[in-house]
Amino acid sequence: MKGIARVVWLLLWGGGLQNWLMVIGGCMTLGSLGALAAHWHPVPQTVLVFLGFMGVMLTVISPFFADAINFRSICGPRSIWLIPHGRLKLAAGAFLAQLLLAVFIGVAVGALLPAPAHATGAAVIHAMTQVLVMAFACLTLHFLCFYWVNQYRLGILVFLPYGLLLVLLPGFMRSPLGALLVSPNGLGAVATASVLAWVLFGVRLVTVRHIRVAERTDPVVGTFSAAATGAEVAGAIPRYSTQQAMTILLSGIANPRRASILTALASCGLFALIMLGILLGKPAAKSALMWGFVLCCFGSLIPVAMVDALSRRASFLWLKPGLDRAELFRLVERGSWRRLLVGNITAFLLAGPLVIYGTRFQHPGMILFAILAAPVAAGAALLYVWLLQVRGTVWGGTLTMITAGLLLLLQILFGSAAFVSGQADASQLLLPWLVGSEILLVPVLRHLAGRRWQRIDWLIHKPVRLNQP
Amino acid sequence: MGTAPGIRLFTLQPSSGVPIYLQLIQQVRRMVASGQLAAGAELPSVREVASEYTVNPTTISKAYSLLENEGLLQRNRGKPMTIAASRRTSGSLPQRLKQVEAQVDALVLAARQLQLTAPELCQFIDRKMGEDS
Amino acid sequence: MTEALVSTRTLSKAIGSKSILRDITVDVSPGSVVGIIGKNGAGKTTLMDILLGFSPATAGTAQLFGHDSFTLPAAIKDRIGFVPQRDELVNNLTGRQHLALTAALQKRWNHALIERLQAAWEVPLDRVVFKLSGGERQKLSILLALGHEPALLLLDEPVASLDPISRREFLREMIAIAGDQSRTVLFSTHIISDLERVADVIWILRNGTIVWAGPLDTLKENVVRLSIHSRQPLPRILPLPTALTQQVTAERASAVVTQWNEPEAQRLRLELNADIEVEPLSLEDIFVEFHS
Repeated sequence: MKGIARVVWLLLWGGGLQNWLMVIGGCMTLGSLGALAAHWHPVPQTVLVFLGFMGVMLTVISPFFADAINFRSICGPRSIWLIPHGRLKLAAGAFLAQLLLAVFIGVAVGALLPAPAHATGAAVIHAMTQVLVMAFACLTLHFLCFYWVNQYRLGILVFLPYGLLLVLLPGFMRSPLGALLVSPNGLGAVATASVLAWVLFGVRLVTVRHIRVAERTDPVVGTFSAAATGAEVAGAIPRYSTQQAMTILLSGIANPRRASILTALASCGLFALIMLGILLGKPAAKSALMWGFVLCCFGSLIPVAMVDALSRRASFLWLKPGLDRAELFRLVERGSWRRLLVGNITAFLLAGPLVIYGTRFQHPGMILFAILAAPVAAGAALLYVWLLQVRGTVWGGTLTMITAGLLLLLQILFGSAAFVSGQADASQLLLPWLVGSEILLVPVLRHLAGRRWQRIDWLIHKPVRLNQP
Repeated sequence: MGTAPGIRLFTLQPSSGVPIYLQLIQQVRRMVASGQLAAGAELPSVREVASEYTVNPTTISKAYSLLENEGLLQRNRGKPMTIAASRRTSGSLPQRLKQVEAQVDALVLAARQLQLTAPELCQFIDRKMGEDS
Repeated sequence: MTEALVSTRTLSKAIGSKSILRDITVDVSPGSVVGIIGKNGAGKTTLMDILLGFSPATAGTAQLFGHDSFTLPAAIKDRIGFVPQRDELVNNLTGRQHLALTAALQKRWNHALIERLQAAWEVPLDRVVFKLSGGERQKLSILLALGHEPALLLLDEPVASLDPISRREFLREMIAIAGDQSRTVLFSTHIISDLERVADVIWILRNGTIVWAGPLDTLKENVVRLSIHSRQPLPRILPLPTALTQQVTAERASAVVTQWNEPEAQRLRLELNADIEVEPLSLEDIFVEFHS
């Protein structure tokens, strides 16, 4: 039992960015549900529901992508073979983890779905069950496919076409086949099929001789750099400038320029797919802008998440001549800003079409301000919040990050509300105040982070190591 | 008489309980006392010994310095260390007896445990030494 | 007296409530080769981390080249070389690229030395790091630390993954460095036979404290096993103030002491009216005795 619980814990509360996303997503979902239940509408109801959905997505997105990969790494070691029923416990843990996620999705989405006027409790429960079963089936399908595909190094690329599939899901649900699936018989069949799939998976896991774990070096880009740089320099003596050398050692990426280009291209691909989905749904001008705004906010969030890895790896540069702690702080800071700005500019360029589509909305200046300045300010504040987390106090760190997350959430909330309502009311004025306060906070946070870096303890703030042979 | 390269003059055991410098000193003393190393014989340099036996040169250097203080070795500027000529290479009686002191201690201890008396032991030793010659 | 290169005074380190190092006071004089031995978890890696300034001490001081370790000035870092226990290599670069990277960050780089060592140690330089075996990665890490010919070299279990021939080659290089009085080496290892060859000072770390810090020769001369045969029953506790272990049965006893010399021997012979056989111990035996 304890083993199974441990596996569930590992898969769901994995650490780092995943925990952060789950906490923020959870707060958003619970906040929206609470507000709806209490009939307290500081913003229009549609916005609350939208935020609730965003919350669910945030909570589930990281386990969704990471679980199958992590599961394969957990199963890989041959020592698991020697633990009595080791693999069985692992399979049971994975099953439970996906089930828990499905329950969360089912309950949250079921409660958020707009209910008809005379909605009874039973009808709500029915809706929840429908979503639960379908979500569980989807999660099962995804987990098993992703798990299988991840024994190959390029397996991680499979999630790109996934995005398209997910976007087409609502359309599918409205089709006749979809209606059949959500009928009680259909649900039963789907549920049985899912459980059966897990049973088969469990049997396979327990009986297979050796579980292959793909060597994970840099994400995806590793495969390209290795081939390219290997061919270039066989026999030739490579030359690096001091700046290049420091960047490579700090980021741990063999070819940083190539890595940024590839990441930018991949993000473009992902954003394009999401926007395709949105536009296929023919949104109103205002919600298009809202989506654009939200996308831009994520343009800051993801790059900023790298800051932690950078500050940990800075320990590898500590003994290099000419670098003291203040210098290392500036180095990490510069690297993080570069990522933040690249992320934001990419997001801004991608959200461009949405903005153009929505300029029928008045206040174009306000739009540009919101889409460009707000995410950068939020990103900058978060950057220094991350840089503060170097002394390893678990509660203090978690508290700081939750507060930062909540502030970001408020920003998204009010920004979105501004776009949806389109009126110069309180919510529209709050966004500039929020952004202004973030801009003022940045120098303060920077000073604090710099001070904390004078006492950074790399015994506690250790670099995270990927699979090493 | 120089040492040919590759021929190991000493037997050094780093894992022994006896420190390396002491092993070296004891072996040099023994070889000098037995005449194996004549006066003027060249000893390999510190560096040569250290690299041949893969041991720290400091310990070899220490051994050589102590032997020099004892008067057994002589430092020659720019040339390898040599056995000093000032002493009789075969060694005085107390010197030679000192070489076998460890073995005699062990013999005395064993004899005490077996309750052999000194005359009995000496008779036995006489007989043994007579057998050889 | 030359100033100590590395020195600590009552150094202690605790993480949370767990105490890792306690009250460590040692000095390293220039030109020595210090071997640090200790069980797993004794604190060897933490000690090195604190000496190098990765982590602040909870109490006491640690100094390198006369400067406080935690605030080590950037200017003197080119005199230090460090080989960590877990390598810090970038997976997608070749060995040659790593050497170029490190050379780019150092002011001085001895290309000839690296070439010679790379050939002698058979380190493949044109294969990507994640395709190298553990031993080859370790050899590469050592090469990276030797290139700028640091005055102070610290190695944390540098030979754990190396086969005996590679270890012997590595020792040869350490001996060549040891011959140079201006260079100092500190290394921690489990392979005690290597230390007996190359170290001149030994630190024994047990549970976060240093139970012995001094020359290897003195250690071997002082820590010995005594076999005592008496003509009368022996007291239950022998009058040995520095004994690590002792076993007494009627008229025979065996003990391991940490301070042994002629006056001590005489005193004991008279007091116990016994014969005492002295057995010198190898470093490995000494280490085991310190932990029994």
